[in-house]
Amino acid sequence: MNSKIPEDLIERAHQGKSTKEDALLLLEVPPFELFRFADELRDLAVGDTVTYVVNRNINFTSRCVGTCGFCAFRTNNGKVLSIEEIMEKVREAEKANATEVCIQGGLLPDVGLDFYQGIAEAIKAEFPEMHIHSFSPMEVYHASRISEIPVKEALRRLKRSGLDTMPGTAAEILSDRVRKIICPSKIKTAEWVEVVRQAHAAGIPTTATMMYGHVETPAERIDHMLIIREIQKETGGITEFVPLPFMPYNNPVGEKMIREGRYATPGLEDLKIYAVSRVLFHGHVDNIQASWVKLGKKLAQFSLHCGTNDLGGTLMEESISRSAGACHGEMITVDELEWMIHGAGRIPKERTTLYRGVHELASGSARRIPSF
Amino acid sequence: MNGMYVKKPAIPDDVIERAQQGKCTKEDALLLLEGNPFELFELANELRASTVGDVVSYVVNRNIYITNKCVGTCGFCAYRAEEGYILSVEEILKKTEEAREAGAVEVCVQGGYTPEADMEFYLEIIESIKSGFPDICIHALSPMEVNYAAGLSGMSVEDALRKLKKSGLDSLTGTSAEILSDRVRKIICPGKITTQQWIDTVTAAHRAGISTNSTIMYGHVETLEERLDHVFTIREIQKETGGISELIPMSFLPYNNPIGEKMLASGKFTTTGLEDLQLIAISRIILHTHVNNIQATWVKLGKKLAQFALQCGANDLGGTLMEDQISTASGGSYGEYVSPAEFEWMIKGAGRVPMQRDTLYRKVGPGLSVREGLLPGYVISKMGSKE
Repeated sequence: MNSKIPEDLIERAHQGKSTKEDALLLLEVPPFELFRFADELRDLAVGDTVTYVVNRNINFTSRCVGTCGFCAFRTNNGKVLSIEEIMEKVREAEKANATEVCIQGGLLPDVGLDFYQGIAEAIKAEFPEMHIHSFSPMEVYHASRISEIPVKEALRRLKRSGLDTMPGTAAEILSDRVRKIICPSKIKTAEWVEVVRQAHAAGIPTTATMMYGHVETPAERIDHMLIIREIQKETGGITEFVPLPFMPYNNPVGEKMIREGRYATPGLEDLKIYAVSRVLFHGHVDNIQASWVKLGKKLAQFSLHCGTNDLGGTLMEESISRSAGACHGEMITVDELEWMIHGAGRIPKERTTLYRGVHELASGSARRIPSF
Repeated sequence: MNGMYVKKPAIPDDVIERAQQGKCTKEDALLLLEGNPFELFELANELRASTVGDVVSYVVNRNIYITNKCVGTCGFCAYRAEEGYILSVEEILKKTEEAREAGAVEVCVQGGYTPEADMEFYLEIIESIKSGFPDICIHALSPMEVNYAAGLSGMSVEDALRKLKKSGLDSLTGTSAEILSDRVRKIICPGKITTQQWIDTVTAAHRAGISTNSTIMYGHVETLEERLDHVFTIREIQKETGGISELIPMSFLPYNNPIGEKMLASGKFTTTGLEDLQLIAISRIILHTHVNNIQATWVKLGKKLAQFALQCGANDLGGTLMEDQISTASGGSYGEYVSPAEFEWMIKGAGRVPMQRDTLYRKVGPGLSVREGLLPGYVISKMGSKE
């Protein structure tokens, strides 16, 4: 086995020292060899447990001053949910046994940090146990600018207000060349890295995402993952890596692609990204999440054989991918997630946002769980 | 089966040898399904490469549903309606015309079975399409529809097929096969033709010079062995007649129909991706040297998994379709249209060579390509405004 994968590459992967060249080579070997290798590393890192989280997405507004060319959700004057309306959704989530609410929105022109703190405080006052996984690095950066305080201070205040973790979104591809094309007014690569580092320093773990399949090169994808690995080496604050294929419908970047005869990444390419990320993150980030919203339930399930170990959240509502042409639904039940996981011959386990309460079930080595 | 696998040593040599000779046994198939899925996929992929090479085909076609009225009682159907519609011959011709303008080389014409649709009605449809559009392949009717209409018109199935052939029917669809097991059929489609009647009808079609494809609808009440028996039954028919163009494994969609609702209530959902890929791979192996074309249908699998299935034994992506109300009614969420350009993108992304085909897997030259529509599903409204 692994005849096309050199021994020294395998060794470096096991030591958590895969290089960019290693990753590029893995994209060229027969895909089944890559998948089987990633599957072995998955087994070593987390064993047979496959996790999911019962959560709810709440997008509090589609209004956004951003100019990202890949977005099909943004509006100029969309309604902004009031705190009471957000709370109503949180109450529904709580009734549906959600342990996490994931709250994000557009960038509002004149809304400062108070607004975000207000959301977190209202939720914690009524539901102290509810995990608040909210606000992207871009939103935090934007709010801190409007409130004229440093990002570091903004993060400290959010933490005090009850923010538990942040989604590592707004990362897109961490390359300033790519960002200039697809999201020119967003924070630059170095700024994203800095906000995430500061969040970890403030005791706020984050996830990390990568939105791929538009204008970036394979090397830029790998660089993106290596940037995240460097952050993790320094802070240990990243809970999971979530590769997200770009949806090319109803947005300018996608429409341009389709005119050129390019479409959403095919399944084979998605699986290779998941597998390579497992290899690159081995020894650093243990959890690789397959997004059923982007991949579809069937491919997300099969990706469990190619390096992934988490199926993400039940969501309850998902408006952002849907506006960009995703057609895989907005909700999945716990029963269906467990069906998918059993069907892969694995052990399903509900997790918290911080992957707590799962390691005792994982076979193989003990899990390293970021704790603060 | 639910896709469970245990790591075991590589596939035994004699199993591989039998597969290569087209003599895979049921025991072989069961063993392959218990092994590492990547080993199964690799074997299927090698057999695919040795029979059809790197070409991956698709067909620009249109589904036309004659009627949603049906006297059937199939518990898996979410399409049937009491107060349904029946298209007139003119309406069918208009849809065919639209399809032709959009570059289609095939119309797939099917519907429910209902007293209004007798042999005369079907023959008129086929003749009208053939005389209006002589170069369009007519892939139409199921063994069930032919049986029912032949009965209504008081003729034998053989006579009905002969008349259909004379009217211009190029290919009979291999649908209404579901699972070819009378135990299963009693549960999910008690009013339908039996396993033997399905086999007899398909065999008679081949004898009458009408090609058919074959299908399997899996993932409901059948056992793993029943699934495999079904594929072996197809192999037996093919050995006798050679009239089967392809096998299309279709995963059952459990939404909005009684069988599905019962499944969901008992905590069973649609087949997982692993299971879908395993069936495609094992079908390739069982049918090797007999049926060369295994289709991965994006309507049921989603585009991404259908593309990946090309690594696991599939060599065809089916049709552009333009409308698929049947899967949509059962909760299929993958859209109703894929453009030729997107098929080519998917196929090239698998490192293969795209080829447009017709119903009978004949190569179709360029110049028939459909203009791009931006949104899958919007195509019906767009079709009227084709230049």
